[in-house]
Amino acid sequence: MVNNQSAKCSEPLVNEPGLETERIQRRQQFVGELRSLFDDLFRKAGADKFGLSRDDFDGILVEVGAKYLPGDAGHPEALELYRSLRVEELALARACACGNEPAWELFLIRYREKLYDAAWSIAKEESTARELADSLYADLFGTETRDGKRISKLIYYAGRGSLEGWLRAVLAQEFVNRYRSERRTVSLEERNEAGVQFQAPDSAGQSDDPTLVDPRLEAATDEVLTALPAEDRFILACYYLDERSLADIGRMLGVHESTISRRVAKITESLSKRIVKALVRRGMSKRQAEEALQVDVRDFSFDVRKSLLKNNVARDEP
Amino acid sequence: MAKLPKIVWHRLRRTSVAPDPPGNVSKASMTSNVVRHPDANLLAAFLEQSLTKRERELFMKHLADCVECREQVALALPETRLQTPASESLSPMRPRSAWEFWQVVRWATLAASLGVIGVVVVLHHPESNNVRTRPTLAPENKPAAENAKQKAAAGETAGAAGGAASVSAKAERLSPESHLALKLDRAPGKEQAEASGEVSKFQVREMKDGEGRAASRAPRAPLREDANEASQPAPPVSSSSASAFRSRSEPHDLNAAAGSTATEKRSAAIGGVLPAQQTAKAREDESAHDEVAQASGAADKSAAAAPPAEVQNALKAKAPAGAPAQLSGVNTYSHEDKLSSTARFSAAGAETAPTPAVVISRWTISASGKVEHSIDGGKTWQGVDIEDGISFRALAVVGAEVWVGGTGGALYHSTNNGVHWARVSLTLEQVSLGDIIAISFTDPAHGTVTTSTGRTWVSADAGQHWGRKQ
Repeated sequence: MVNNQSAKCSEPLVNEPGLETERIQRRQQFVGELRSLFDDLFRKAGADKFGLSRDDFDGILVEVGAKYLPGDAGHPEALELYRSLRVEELALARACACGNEPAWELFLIRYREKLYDAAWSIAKEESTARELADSLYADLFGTETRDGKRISKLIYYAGRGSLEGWLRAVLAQEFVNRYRSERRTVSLEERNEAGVQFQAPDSAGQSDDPTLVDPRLEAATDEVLTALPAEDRFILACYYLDERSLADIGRMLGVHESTISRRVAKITESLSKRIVKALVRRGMSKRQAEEALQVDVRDFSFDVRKSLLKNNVARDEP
Repeated sequence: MAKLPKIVWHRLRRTSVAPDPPGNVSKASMTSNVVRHPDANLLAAFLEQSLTKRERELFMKHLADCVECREQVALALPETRLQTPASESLSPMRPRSAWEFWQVVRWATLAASLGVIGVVVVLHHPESNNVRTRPTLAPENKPAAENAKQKAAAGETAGAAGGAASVSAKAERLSPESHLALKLDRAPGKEQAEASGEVSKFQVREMKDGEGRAASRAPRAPLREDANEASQPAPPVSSSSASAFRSRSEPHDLNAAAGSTATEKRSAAIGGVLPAQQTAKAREDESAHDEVAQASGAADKSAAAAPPAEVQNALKAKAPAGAPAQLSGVNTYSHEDKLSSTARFSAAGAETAPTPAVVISRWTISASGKVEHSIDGGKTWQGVDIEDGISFRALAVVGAEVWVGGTGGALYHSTNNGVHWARVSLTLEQVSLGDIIAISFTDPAHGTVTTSTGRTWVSADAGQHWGRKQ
């Protein structure tokens, strides 16, 4: 792993005894802090109510840490991760996965209606939502068995977010997987009825034609887009590609929609200026660069061959 | 807003990763060169802003390029709608407009409850205080026709109109002044002693109040009389006394008055204070009251089973296509019928505790697997004894119909909001069903039951017949 390698590179070449002692002392201090934190988390989780022993609970925490801590994570980062875990819900979920009856009853009371509500809000259609929720419900209960043991999907919950949020995320993933794949298997009759045969050709396909677009423009655009922060690209993609509303984007990022509106305007404006500068660096004049950006040659695409064929047909007709 | 240059749109689209089959992979995989999708834990943590800074940056980089993960994030966003009542949310698949539907049902239930309370007050009014007649106040602001109509409606609903009407009819004939005179002129004996004792109490009160009001034994009598105003016509009294009664009773709760009056009457009857004749009368009143209590349950049933026109219209407007526009209050079952203690409980509750003005019915299952019901929006809960030895795990409510399921394949159904329960057998075959872990009804006719053995049972006729889903 790249992270582990970089960590190793940062280690001193000469193993000085003083540094080694200091490292051991830090490690011991970290272990002590971790043990104390695990004690607190075990008490907070109330795992013993659901039949989870201290060892079981510690094992769960170690598993979560191994999964989500990067190789070069420092001690403070590790402690921060453990402190951020939803340990009560984690204990409940893992106890349900182990088949603990009181845990399962509590889960039903707290989450059953939320599960169905979330399915409805995702599918927006009753039969689909019910199917989605029932399917996940059965997976959570563990109708599948492996080596005689019931396997519950709740074993994958790691406490990074709330259990309700995790259930919603699982439903969303299942919905996208299931119904996206079903969209690909639409029958020919349905496609004809929907008028697919009359659909306009995808304009995106034209962008792949290298003869239409100035390669300097493409290169400059790629350079600027790559340099954009990931969050800005995410906002642009959500707004322009996915056509999400400003409110939805704001909720995804935890900010108000007016903030997103200002950011979109700011990003779009600065994007144009940066692309123009990049084009100027590639040898265009400023005016040429602005024109190249404003005018898309693909809008004026002209197929000479087709035009000639059409003219010939018109001439041959009586 | 500034327009995005087309070339930027195309390049942005081109960098979006083609959808790959998602895997439940960890954050570590996100850093690898192979394109992987974040798991549900990270997705949920992202939406709840609980990722670390480094994780968020990596996650955002992936989202910027992955249209499928962006779609999942958008779908997984929590709804920001208002919290729905428990009884509504326990019936899954209900659309948002059901909130409006329950508002209408709530007001309809309130109106029915007020009517029942009026009937109860009317029936409690006569003969409960060892007087043959009762002074009643003329409702100055209400026409006699309206009072007669209310009285007739109350009588029909209660089903004990005969006894109540005769008593109240007697009360109509005497004015408050003549009632007082009657009390003072009574023959000696226990009855007289008590009457005089009560009269003396009344006299003391009169002296304290210094107002020439109609006699009534209990301190809350003015409230009863005030309540009677709404339910039956009365001989005219002086306007000053009537208004005095009203002003005195205004701060008081009518429901509390009805409840306490019932308690007093009952305690008086049980204590054997009344002579034989009066005892019989009191017993008659008690039975009438019991009938009223049961009839109030019937009224609730009828209100729930046959909602008023506006509710039916709301049902028609909001029910999905093909769904019945009206809840059926009568179901025939091919299984045994069982009267639960809930009916007794509800009757007792009506007698001893004041009925809340607004009934907000909620159902839940406790951590120990008991079914619980609340009529005050969840402030207080009462356990519902359906069957001993069964731990319930699934619940579904559609209007007044309640379905509960639990261990050993036990499935129970109530059509009248838990007053009566009937056990439902999913199959006549001797097979192990396992535990019922899920029940859902999209409408009163179509239901699904899921068991712990992974089987699903469906019904298309409101649960009368169940078939196993293949």
